[in-house]
Order: sequence, then structure tokens, then C-alpha cells
Amino acid sequence: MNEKSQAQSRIPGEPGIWAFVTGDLLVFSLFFILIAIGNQEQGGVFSSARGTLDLRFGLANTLLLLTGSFFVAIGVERFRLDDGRDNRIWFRLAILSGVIFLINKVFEWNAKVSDGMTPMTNDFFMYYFVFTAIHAIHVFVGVVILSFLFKKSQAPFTPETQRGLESGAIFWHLVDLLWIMLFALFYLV
Amino acid sequence: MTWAWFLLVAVTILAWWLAEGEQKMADATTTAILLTAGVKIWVIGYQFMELKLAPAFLRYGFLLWLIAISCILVFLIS
Amino acid sequence: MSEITSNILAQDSLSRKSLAFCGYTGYAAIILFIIGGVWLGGMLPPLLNASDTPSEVVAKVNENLLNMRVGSIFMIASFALFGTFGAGIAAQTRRFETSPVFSYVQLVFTAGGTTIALLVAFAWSLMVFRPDTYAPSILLMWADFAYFLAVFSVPLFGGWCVLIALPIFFSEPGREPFPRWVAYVNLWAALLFAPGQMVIFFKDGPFSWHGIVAMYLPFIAFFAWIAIMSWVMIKIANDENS
Repeated sequence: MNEKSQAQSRIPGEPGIWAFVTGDLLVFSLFFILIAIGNQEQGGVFSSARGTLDLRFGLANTLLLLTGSFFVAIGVERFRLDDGRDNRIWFRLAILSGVIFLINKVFEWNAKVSDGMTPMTNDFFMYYFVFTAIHAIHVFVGVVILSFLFKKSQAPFTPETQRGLESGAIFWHLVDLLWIMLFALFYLV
Repeated sequence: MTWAWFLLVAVTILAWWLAEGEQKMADATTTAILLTAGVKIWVIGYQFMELKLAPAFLRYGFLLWLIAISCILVFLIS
Repeated sequence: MSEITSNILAQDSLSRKSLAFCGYTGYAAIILFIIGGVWLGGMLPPLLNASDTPSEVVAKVNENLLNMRVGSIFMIASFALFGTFGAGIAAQTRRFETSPVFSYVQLVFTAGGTTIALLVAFAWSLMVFRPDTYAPSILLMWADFAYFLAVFSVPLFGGWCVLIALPIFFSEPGREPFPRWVAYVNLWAALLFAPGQMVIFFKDGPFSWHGIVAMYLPFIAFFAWIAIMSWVMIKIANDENS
């Protein structure tokens, strides 16, 4: 942090991406609060429903997203070094983590549905299916964005490409960040 | 960057361990789990999203949001 | 605003006025909806609930008959203005496109969105037309129809937003039809409309058509989006530093 604080402060990515991040954080805050209120009002339903979730899926997906974020962060940093090295591997790995996350999610949903749990079962599963689905759409969009970054990361260094790359990365980190709270609220608490 | 990742994984494992070993002090565990989530979000924002480089209004805006939402959730859940 | 935008607009006072006109019609649409949909019509916050029984719906409608009728008139006026609002955005995009693909698709979505929105007001007005002659369940169906038109039509309204964002992202730096942050706001709006499709699964709770996530969120996002886009259009029109 010390060496960084000497550099003058600047907005990472395009300023516009932060409008999107702010908006998305506020919407998901509403989702988190809805889950918490449900948990408060129907504690018994929520804790027994929570018990049926497979923690291994959640844990694996959390680690996948965290690691994916890490890869993207390295990729962006390597791009800024601009030493001509091929840094596409980091974006490729991050895309892979996102795809595995989605496959994992499909298996997890599938297992729940075949056990007879649907969004109509109770409020816990209603929130669980809808919010993880909205989050999965984010992951899907993130993977699409990452595949653009993958191409962009080989473009010659310009301030515009750097901003573009950072903006895409910020979205990917946002997807990660939102999952962290969903994971805590659905699986752990 | 690497220490951020190690920290994130370590905190995740800690939260998982807390959740597995529940039952006894449910309220304290719940609060601890939510706090670990808050810490992870802060690390992601500060390190990965590079808010550490950002102007104060963004950095503190993010921190303020994080503190607010964590407090609300802890209040509602525990 | 980029130099090119202001240059084109500086030479063309007509396009400046027409763009501002379209922007102001966006504001007018919001005000008319607040009068017709929020104050009188009982659309937002919802007077009716997706969990209401048909007889509850009949009772509520009969209690508020005159307000809802007058509200329907204001609502249909509001929704018709989506056309001018959307055409203004498409025209601004058109100025920067050599091959006006996105502007044309925007117009298609504007026309579709305006039509769907007008049908919302039609459904609302038919609901209050003769509530005692229709069977109670038909009244409930009109309410379902109105909210489904409004929030279940995600691909149309969300797609409209995406089609505004894409030409901004694709244009060369300095030649954007709108500032780049506008593109992000549009994507965010599209995202907020998305939970509207949940109304098909639920008749109660936050994802039903009277719920906070599936109804309030898309409605508020939609009108906030109109407010932001109108403001940007008017700002571009007024930027006279040639």
C-alpha cells in the first residue's frame, strides 16, 4: 500500500462503471435485506431449509470466484506493465473459473429441484433460486466481458485499452463481491 | 495481490469452519460469519477493484456502504 | 460533450430544439404518470394485489372508480410520450451512425415499448369501465394483464436500454452520441427490469406483481431512466459552446 499511496489517486476504470457498480450494490443490498428479514420472520423455516443446501457446492463456488478475481487482477496488472509478455492465460483461467461456477450452479439447482425443492416450496427457496439466478446472469455476462478482455489484453497499450480492461475487471470483481454476501446469507448464517 | 487472495481463502475457510461448528453460540457465530463476509468484500473492493488508488469519495463511499449493510444485516439476523 | 457533437448541433438550431423537445416530453411523461398512476390511478403503489380474491378486487375498484378513471386518462397520455422520448434518443444516435442500424432498431423498440405501455393504460381503463357487469375474475384478469404488460415485457424494455448502450460503447472515443456513463446507466436499468419476469411464478411476496423486487424496482428504474435520459438530451441540446 505504501508504494501505491505515492501515486496520485485516480478512478480505476471508466468513471461510468462506478455508476453501474453503485446501482448494482444498492439493488443487491435490497436483496440482502429481504433475505435477512425473511430469516428474522421465519427463522425455523430458513434454518431447516438452509440445512438441506450442500455447503460443498457453495464453498467450491466461492473459492472459484475468489480465484477468478485474483487471476483477472493479475492479468490487468501484467497488462499495465506492458512488457510484451502473453498475459492471456490469466483471462483464460478466469473465464474457466466462471464457466465451472455456472456448471456447478446448474448441478446444484438440478439436485435441489429433483429433491422436490422449487422456488414455490417456501420463502427461503424462493429467495435462493431467484437471487442466485440473478447472480448467475451476472456471472454469465461477466464471462462474456472476460472474453472481450481476453482479446483486448493483447492490444497495444493505450490509456483507453487500460481503462476498458480495468472496467471489465471491476465488473468481474463486483460479481465476486456480491456472491460473497449471498454465500454467507444462504449457506453459512 | 497474492496476499489478498490468501487472506480471502483463509477467511472463507474460517467462515466455513464457523458454520460447521455452529449450535452453541449461535448469535456470536452468525455475527462472526457476517463480519468475515464484510472483510472479504472489503479486500475485494480495496485490492482487486483497486479502490486503494481511487479518490476519497469512492473509497469512503464504498466503505460507508459496506459498514451500513453489514450493520443492518447483523442487526436483522442475530 | 464531445466537440463533434457540439459542432453539429451548433450549426443546426432545429435539431437542437427538437432534441430538447423530446427530452421535455420525457419529463412530461413522468409528471403525467405521477398524477395518473401514483396519485389517482392506484398503479404504484399498487391499490390491488396479485393475492387479492376477485371480490376484493371488485370492492377496491368500486371504491376508487372515479379516481382510477381519471387516472387512466393521464396514464395513457404519459405512455404515448414514450414515443417522442425514444425517437429523440434514436435521432441523437443516428447523427453518429454512418449505417444507422442501432438507431433503426431503437425505433423499433421505441414503437414496441410505446404500444405495450399504451396497452397498460387500456387494460387499466377497461378494468374500471363497468366493474359490476364483468365477472369479478375478469376484473382481476385486467389487473394481471396491466402489470404483466408493464413488467413481464423485460426483453422489450431492457433490450431498448441495451440498444442505447451499445452504439455508445462501439463508437470511437470522442464520437459518442451520448457520454459514456450513459451507456452504463442504460445497462443498469436493463438489469433492474429483469426481475419483472418473476411475476409469472408468484402471486404473493416480493416477486409478485405487487412486490418490491418484481414491480417497484422495474417501475422506479424505468421512470428514473426516463428522467436521466431526458436530462442528458436536454443538456446536449443546450450545450452551445461551438
